Amino acid sequence: MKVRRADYMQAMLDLTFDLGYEEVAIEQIAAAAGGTAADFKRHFPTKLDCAVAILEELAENNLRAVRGAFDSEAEWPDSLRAAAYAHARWIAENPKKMHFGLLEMLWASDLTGALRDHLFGSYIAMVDAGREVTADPDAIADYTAESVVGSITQVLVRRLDKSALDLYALVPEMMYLAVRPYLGEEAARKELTIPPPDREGRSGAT
Amino acid sequence: MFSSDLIDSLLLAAVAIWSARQQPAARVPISIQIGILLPDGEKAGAVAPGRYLEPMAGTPEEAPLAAPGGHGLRPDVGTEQRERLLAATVDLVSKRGYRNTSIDHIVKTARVGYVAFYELFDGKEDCFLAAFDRTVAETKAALAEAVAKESLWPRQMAAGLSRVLDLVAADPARGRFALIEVQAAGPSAYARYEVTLDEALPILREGRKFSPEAAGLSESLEEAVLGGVVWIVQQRLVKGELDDVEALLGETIQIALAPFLGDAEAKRQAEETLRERSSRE
Repeated sequence: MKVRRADYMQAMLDLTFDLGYEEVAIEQIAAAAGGTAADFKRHFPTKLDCAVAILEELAENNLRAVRGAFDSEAEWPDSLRAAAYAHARWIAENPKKMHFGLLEMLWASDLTGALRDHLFGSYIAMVDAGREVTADPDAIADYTAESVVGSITQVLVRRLDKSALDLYALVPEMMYLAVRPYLGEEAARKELTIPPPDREGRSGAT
Repeated sequence: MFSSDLIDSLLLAAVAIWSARQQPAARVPISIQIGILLPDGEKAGAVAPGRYLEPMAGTPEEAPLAAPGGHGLRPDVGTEQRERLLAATVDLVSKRGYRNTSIDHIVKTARVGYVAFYELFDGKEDCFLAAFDRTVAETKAALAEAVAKESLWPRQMAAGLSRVLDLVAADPARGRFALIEVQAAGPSAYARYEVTLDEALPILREGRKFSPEAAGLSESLEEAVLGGVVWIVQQRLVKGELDDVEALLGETIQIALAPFLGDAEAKRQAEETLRERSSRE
């Protein structure tokens, strides 16, 4: 049976999750996918090329889910909250991709830098849309949205390897952080009391 | 084409064989002559600080472990070579990334031989960790000096951020090494990076004393605030955007202090810090 490019990508994702990127050899990936090293190299000249392909697919897939949720709500911060829960669901459904993107490849190479900028630039834009609803946009520090996205990323990275991580439970705290600079303390605290949607994404807020 | 790790392994084997030939009387396993192959538990506390063993007489079981400094290199030579290796590691890793830096690169840049390298370090990761530990220790010393001049928490925070950003702007390669590449240098390095960040959390938590609503603040607030500030500095390092330290400092002070002091007071602290820096220049 012909081994597809996607089979090699899945094998690399699985092996990296178990062993770590550094420890995985092309021969192992090829064997796990049912192919050969020579065939792997016909699809990907190097291991890093395969990693970049995984990241591209991951970024596109994640942004489709998160951006779609963001666009489903007309008002900020409702739109940001919908995006945050969509992101939490995506992570729960794709633990290996999340592990790969955040723990293994976030700072891996200049080749992945453009993808990182693209993905995080999109998140930053969703947070910084808060400027459109704030009374005095110029009073908000330029790096506010970037620091919010950075905060969330660092919290996620540090908790990804912990068992029983309930990302849904983290969303209100992260929303508090994101909303406070734009709408103030009161609106931010309200985020801590808004019930989450169900795990399929249906709204639970009243 | 050979990978750098394979080349390192071959060179390691060559050094092991060379060592065995140089010390035929010892007749001990190579794994004991070269500290790199000893499990951590055996090394801990026994062969500090050089991680190497003297040539030994008698059976491996009877062989004494070396006293500190007993690496066969004159102490001044060993220290100088160690310094050159650490400096080369910081420089190379910041430019090439950890994964693309081999021991071959490090010893050639430091102009130190393989034998001396393995007498001083267990391998690439050990050398990296030593360089990271020293960078952290020096940064902590600089921070302590800056913070000691202030008595109030907001001023201490601002002084600390000011000093850290000055250090990063003065030596971006070192900043990149300690804040970015450490995350790609394997689980041990990442664990030390996490521990280093964790040490800052209780200091940030002091800010709750200034918040009238501290009890309601999220438990992960300090972790998130620190993560946000670190992320901003990491991004500036990656993008080479450290030209305007003053602007970056003003923003990071506001971001770090606002959750505890409120936006207006955080902004005032940032402005005061920038005024003080300006008056010193």
